[in-house]
Amino acid sequence: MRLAILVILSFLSGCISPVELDFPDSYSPKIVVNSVFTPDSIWTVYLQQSIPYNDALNWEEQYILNADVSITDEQGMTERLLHVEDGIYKSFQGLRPVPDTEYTLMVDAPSFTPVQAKSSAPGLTVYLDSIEELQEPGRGAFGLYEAILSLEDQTGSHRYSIEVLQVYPKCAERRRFDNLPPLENLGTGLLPGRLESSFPGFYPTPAEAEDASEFPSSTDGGISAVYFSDQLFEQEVVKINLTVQVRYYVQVAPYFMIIVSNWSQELWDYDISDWRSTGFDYEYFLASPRPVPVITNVENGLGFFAGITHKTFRSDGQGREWTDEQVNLGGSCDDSN
Amino acid sequence: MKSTQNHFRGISRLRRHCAAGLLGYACLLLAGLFNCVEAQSYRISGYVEDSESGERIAGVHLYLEEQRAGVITNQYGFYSLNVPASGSWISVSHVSYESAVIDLSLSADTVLVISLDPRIVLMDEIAVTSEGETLASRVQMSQHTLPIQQIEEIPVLFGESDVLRTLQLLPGLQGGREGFSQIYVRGGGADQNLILLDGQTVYNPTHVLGIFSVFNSSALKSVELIKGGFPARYGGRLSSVVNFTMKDGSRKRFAGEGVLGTLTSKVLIEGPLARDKASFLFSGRRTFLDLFTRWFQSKGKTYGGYFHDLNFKANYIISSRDHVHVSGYLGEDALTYRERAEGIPYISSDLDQIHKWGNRLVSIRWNRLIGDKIFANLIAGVTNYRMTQEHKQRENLPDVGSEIYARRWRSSIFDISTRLELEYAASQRHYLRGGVEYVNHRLSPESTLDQIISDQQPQLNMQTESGEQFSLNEFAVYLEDEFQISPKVRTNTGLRISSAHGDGKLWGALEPRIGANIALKKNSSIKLSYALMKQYLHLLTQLGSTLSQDRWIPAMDGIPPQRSTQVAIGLAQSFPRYSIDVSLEVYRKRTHGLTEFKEHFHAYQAPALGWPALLEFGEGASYGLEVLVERRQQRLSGWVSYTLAKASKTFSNLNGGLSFPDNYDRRHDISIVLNYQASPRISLGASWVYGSGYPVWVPAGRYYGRINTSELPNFLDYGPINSARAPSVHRLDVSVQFKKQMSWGKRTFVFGVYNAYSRQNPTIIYPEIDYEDTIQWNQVSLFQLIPALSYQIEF
Repeated sequence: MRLAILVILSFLSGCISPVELDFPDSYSPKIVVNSVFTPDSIWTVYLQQSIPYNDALNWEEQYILNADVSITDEQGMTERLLHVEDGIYKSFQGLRPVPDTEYTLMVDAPSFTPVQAKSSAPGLTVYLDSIEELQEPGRGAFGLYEAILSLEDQTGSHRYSIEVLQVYPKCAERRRFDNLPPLENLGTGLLPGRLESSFPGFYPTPAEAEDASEFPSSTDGGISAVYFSDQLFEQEVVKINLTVQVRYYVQVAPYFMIIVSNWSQELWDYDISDWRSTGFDYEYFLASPRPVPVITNVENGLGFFAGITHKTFRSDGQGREWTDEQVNLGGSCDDSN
Repeated sequence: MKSTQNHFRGISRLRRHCAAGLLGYACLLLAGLFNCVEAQSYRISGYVEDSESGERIAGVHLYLEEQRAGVITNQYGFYSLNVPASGSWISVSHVSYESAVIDLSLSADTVLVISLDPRIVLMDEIAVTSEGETLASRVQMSQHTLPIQQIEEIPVLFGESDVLRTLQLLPGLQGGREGFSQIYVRGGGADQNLILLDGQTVYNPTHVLGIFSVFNSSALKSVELIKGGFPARYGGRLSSVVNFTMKDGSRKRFAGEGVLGTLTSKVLIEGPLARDKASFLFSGRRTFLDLFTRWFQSKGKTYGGYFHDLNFKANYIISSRDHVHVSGYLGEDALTYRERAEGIPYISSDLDQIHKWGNRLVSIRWNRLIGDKIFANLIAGVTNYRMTQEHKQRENLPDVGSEIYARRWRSSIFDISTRLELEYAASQRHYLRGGVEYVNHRLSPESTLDQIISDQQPQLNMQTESGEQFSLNEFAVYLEDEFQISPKVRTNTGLRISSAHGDGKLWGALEPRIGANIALKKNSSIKLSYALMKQYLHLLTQLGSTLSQDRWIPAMDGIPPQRSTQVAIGLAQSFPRYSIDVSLEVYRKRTHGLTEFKEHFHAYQAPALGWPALLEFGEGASYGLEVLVERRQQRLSGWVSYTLAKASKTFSNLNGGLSFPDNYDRRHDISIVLNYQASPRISLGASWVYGSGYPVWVPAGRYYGRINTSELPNFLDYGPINSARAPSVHRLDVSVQFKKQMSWGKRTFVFGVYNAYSRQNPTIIYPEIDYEDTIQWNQVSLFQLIPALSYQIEF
């Protein structure tokens, strides 16, 4: 009987097969801009072109190598960016964005429609008032550190995030911990840490922070990053208390960083649409929703040109700042030494 | 014939005293209304009913042979016509009944109940020579009535006869995705169909996310579809009227029916409560797929799903003039997922997800004959549709207790309505209908209830509710007149005045409706129609089809009502000798006030931003050519239909303001439906459908995104909306019915095959990217060669 029913159900089950679609005749490739700029980075713009969806993607052929790229500030001062390699354009003079200044990017490349985009890196005033160890990390226990930040909100609407990253040894995946090399040869990277806070108005994603029907998220148990807007503290100085959770690594003392960011509207909206375009199937039993395209602020093109301002506070277990060299951040795991 | 000539001479005299143009028409109208120049005649009125069950029969044609004039019984089986005092032969005919001829000689106005014998089995070719109503003589255009018996003989998915799926085989109707029961009429949306069951609105006509319709054919008496040229008595929707009437239940004897099918089973019981005075009907249907699937569930995870529906009806004939009905429908779908995680040390967790939706409606109807010419119908009722999704997660911690997080999402609409309809058979040439209608809609497009119950941390316990309620009051009055202007010209003109009040705003509209039939020669005619329709409700769906989360919202400040105008012209030719009707119609429809969600906006933002801020408003345009060749009452019967159509939408803020194809824009559609009565015991059915591909909104381009040094592949440039086309769809369904008369009743064994040559038609289309970064488009074909068996008994 079961076999008979199985046969019946096999008829009902779906079948997957290749299909030919009738596509529109032509697709004109567009300029794709990818540029997140911060006040502490030299002007850099990545340029590629889009391709027809059904074409195989040859990565190297998509770089735009001969574009005329310029960035103009509010006073009309124009900086021309030069091609360095693989579609990367940089400021020859090593200029950097100035906070709270709107910049206009213009790109003109042969056989493409010229594009332009505008954005600014919002100013950010934030201080680390104090940091204090609550619990030393050990086997089976997080290290806990209480940090208090002072965030000074500026005029206008602002969107912030706070993220915790922790230094980890790249050899930590190996089982024989006892034979690990010394720290200077170890090679380390950054992993998301966790934070808890009683501050009201934290959300786990920008999309939820924008959705007033969502309740602020509890950070109980720890969360790697929080997103919030200044709706609750317009033009005020607010104290934000954080409890930072740090994992225990036997060969690395706790090194972590708290990154506070002030997002431009363009980058915030881009992030939300990117999240929704890939996360729209969260509802139950959905089959194939209407597509949610990722937005762009590049007129006549794709991608984004958007500013963000970060402030990073580095601390070890004793509240001291640390440097990349000190922990060999980015180095490779090399236990031969 | 003499009296007719006198009549027209009388009209001519009257017309000479009237001014030209409209005034002339008004005089003509009055002449007919007051019947001032008709010869001596008597009024005969009453009902036509089934001789076996006492069911009253709609659509019966009563025809005065000598006067070459006739009437059709209304939805409730009522008729009224003038018969010359000198007497006349009346032929009484209906597609599902044996025709009868009555020799009448009257000396006074008379109430007469006419009984017709059901046509049992068609064995011989029937040459229909009666002058019964034909497609060509009917003034209403764009209308189809399907006998339930014929619907039950058309092969369908899973062997379950399905009224909506059968309607999809008619010209001008789209079914949406392969295998689904929705209907999209002449470029309209699923929300633009006024679907009525015994006068009450059914908001979601489908089960199992659209695979089955909610209408149990066993409980139905008739179905009527109007897709254009709407009479003034219908309003509130733009694209179609689908009017289902339930059986009353036999007043003569107890009867029953049981069907054991592949996926569903159903029972029906009917009988007299008081012989010839009162009767009841009860019908139930349930799927048992969940019982099958339970056998194949993995331990700890359980998927389930079912639907059921119940129909009931009772009626009581108080007197020859008064008849009261109570009817109701209750249906529910459920999809469930349950997960039990055991074995994790010290912790176990339970997850329950339930998705339910269903319609519930009740109506009370009182029919009354007022004098010999007026039929009154008073209907009051309620209808409710709601959709619920529940998510409940419980973590059990030994010695500590449990922690529960629960969320319930709900969307609902609740209507209280009342309607008074009056039909006045003013004369042989005038049939007037008038009425008033009131509906109070209470809508809750989206509400949520969140709960946290924690034994370990009671300070976290919370319960919050959110959601917004709306109320909308719709009021309408209408008047329509079916008027035989001359032997060659008949019209049905009407005006509906509708209004709606809600959210502090008042809307109103004059909705003129005009239909005309101009006879060219015997059995052929040209038909024309114009209709303006207004709809004060919108259905918002994030999917573009009625699937997971549907939200009905009213017109409100910032959300205008929908409005459409439709013009159609058609040619009808009947060949009564062969029982063949041929029709050709061309239509053009324009729609305003269509809604779509703005890009990057979602319904969950409504509490913060309000519904108007989430929506784009646009227009729709559709036009097409429809051809139908239909053969009835024959050993070989069925139809062939062809539709050539185009439907598009334009929203100023979508697609760069350019128009784009509607989701169900299909250029060519062909259906061939055949029933063959091989012997009194065996009948064969087959249907073949072909449809060119639906539009698909797929990406036009792609690119690598990059954030600093992180490369993110396959960002999508979607390009124009619905610019690609899916492959065409075609399919053959066949069935055979073996019927046998037994001592206790009748049994029928049905074997059918859906998609007999196993064509892989697309239901879902998706891309797959391989390791070389090349794209392969795939389709999921849900329904291939599905055999079905059912066993049916009637007693």
